Amino acid sequence: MKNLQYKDIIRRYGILIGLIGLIIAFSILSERFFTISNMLIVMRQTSIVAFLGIGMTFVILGAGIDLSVGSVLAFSGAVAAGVMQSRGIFLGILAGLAVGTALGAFSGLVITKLRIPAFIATLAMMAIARGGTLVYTDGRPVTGLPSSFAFLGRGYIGDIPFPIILMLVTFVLAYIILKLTRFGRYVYATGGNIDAARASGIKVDNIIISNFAISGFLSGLTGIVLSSRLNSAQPTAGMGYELDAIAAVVLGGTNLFGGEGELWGTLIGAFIMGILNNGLNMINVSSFYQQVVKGIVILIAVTVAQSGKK
Amino acid sequence: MNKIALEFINISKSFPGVKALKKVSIKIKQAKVHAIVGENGAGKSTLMKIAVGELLRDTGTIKVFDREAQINSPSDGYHYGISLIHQEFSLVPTLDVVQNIFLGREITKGPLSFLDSNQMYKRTEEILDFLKMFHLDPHLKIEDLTIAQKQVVEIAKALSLNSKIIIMDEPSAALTLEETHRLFEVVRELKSRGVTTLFISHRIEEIFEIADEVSILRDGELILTKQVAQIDRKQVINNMVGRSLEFVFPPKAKQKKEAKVILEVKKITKERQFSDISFQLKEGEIIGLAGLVGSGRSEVALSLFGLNHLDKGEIFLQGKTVKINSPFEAIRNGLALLPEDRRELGLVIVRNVLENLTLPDLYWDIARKYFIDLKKEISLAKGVQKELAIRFASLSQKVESLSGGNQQKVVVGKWLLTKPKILIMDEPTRGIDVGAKLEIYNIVNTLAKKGIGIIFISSEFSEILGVAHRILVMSEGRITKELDPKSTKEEDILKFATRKKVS
Repeated sequence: MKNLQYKDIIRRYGILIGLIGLIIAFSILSERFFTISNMLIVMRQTSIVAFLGIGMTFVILGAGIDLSVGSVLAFSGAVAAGVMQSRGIFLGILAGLAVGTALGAFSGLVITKLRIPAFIATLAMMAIARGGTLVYTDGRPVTGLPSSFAFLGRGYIGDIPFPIILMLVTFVLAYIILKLTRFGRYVYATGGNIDAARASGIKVDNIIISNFAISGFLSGLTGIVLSSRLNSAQPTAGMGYELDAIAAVVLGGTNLFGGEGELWGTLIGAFIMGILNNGLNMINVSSFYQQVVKGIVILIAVTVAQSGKK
Repeated sequence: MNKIALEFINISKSFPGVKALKKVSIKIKQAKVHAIVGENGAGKSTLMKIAVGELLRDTGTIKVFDREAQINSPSDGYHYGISLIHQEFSLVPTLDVVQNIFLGREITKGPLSFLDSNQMYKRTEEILDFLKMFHLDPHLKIEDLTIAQKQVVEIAKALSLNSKIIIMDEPSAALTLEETHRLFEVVRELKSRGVTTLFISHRIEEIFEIADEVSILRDGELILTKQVAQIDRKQVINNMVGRSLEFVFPPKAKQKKEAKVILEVKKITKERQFSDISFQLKEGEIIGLAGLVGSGRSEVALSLFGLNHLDKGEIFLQGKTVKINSPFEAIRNGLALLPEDRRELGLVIVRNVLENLTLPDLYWDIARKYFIDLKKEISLAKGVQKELAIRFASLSQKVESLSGGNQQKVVVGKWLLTKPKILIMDEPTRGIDVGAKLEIYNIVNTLAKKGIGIIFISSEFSEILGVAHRILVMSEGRITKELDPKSTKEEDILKFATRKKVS
């Protein structure tokens, strides 16, 4: 019986224990790590992975995968910046979000209507959107953005960086959608057993398209926040971010085959990624080794999580 | 005298929270067919897995041909010549028959150990020749085979290992009557060659047809082992359920004289599946759709429910012609389908009872305006749980962990919440134990009394006779006969179910 309880705790809270363990470890290794100002920096960095991870959670819960988030982010950020130069902040942001959503929805359409596996469809989208970004920007950063646009990425409300607030708002909204709405239930059901979901009267194609649209929308949002933080839209923005986003979801315990998983897990997964980046910098681990450490931590975390499952 | 091929001595096994087996001792004689029966959860499969080493016993001894056997890991069973043929097949779908039979012990030749395909093919042919009543091309991929054929591949694999003891876990669950008979011929042939067969089954008739001895398990304990000749059907059932269960079908719901026709199907056709199917269903009527697997009955059901598009024909609901192109439209028109494979089409197995129960009804009632009315959801779920006596610990329990009978009741429950007018039940009692079957029959009658029209599909003809008001028999995609259960025997149904041409 005792054994069972241990496993239950690991299964439920393993990832949270891991997060706390990491925080304690870095606090011991560096006295500058566990300070309010550094924690806020960590959270601001985390927000980027969290936005993408939240979108990715919808997609993966629906038994899909989205490899295009990094490229869609870059394209949306570039379009937002471009439109903003001539037509102002509001329309710029709107355009960026619209581009992200449209590209995501397009992937969803390809997957459902042409019956192409999500892995392939979004791999193609990854190339298309990256190429589109380079075409649109001519390979150069888009600069000269309105100064008040900086608030999104660098502003504060009180002492709290705005991206953190945006992250929490996004999380709460996504949580409500997943847990309290019909659509959220349908996402779980579709990912858990698409045939049974269809036979229960669910229009499963619409659910899948919506999941990818949500992922696209949040990629667009991420692109805009990043552009604001860097005061320019970089054509190479978001390279490899899809892997961080997927890692956050997987660390959070969501089943890669769909149907099972919790949004708060993704948030903690994103924090772990953020803390690793920040903490390893703090203790002066070279950026080359950081990649290695990140990979190993993911392996350990998933191994421990699985040990709690059976 | 017969030697003892396999002996279980005081085998016990516990899982967290349950004692699955309690000091079970059984002697299994060589070259006999020994049936192991019991309700779901009685410990049959656990015992069989212990016999081949897929599960490790807590205590007890296994003897093979009078010598103590060290069966402690999954491959140990093979070393002692014991093969277990699972309900869920352990075949690789993308490989062909030959590759599967020799998987992990391929025959090689030459210094570089290249695969000797010819040799493997020849050995496979020899074995399949022995199983010749099943036609099987050794080059076919497993994914292209029927369930019966997959079973044959599993048996062929066991034979290729020269197994002396073959355990079959519910081999007939997915077979047609005809295939089952052929399987039994194989079992008899094996027996004549000195192979011992352990046979797990839910279908009590089969025990009397094939087995020499029977052991009955209940709640992890051995109740008795007897010669089949010395026991009758009633005794078997009583010992399985542990109470005297007179197996009679509950009285059928009376039909009203003035009952209206709620569904009319006119000459519906789907190429290569079924053709010219016409019938009427009245409110409160139970139509038994009898037929063997592959007769097209399930395909008709899927078509009525919008999961299989018709080529020709018309469907009328309450006198109005309708086109049903998706389950969504089917549900809107008051239809519900209890699918043949509840794990594939009926349930989201990784989600909990609550979410499964309310899934189809969210749109129509519980979550009409996007947000789920959680209070209403729980009270509706609890209501249907009570109505159908579904047994589970909590609404947040995963359906995965429920017994087959309770899973089936969850599927019934989820459709009841949508208040259907027509309920199509495709093999609703497959793979569930006797007690749960009886409950399903009672539910069918209760629903019919409420005026729901029911299409009850089954390949167990005794069940069709016991449940339906009217029987339609299908064979090769056509309705071959309409029968009145009052004046019909099982053999009559079989006659029309195997008929080649339309009468």
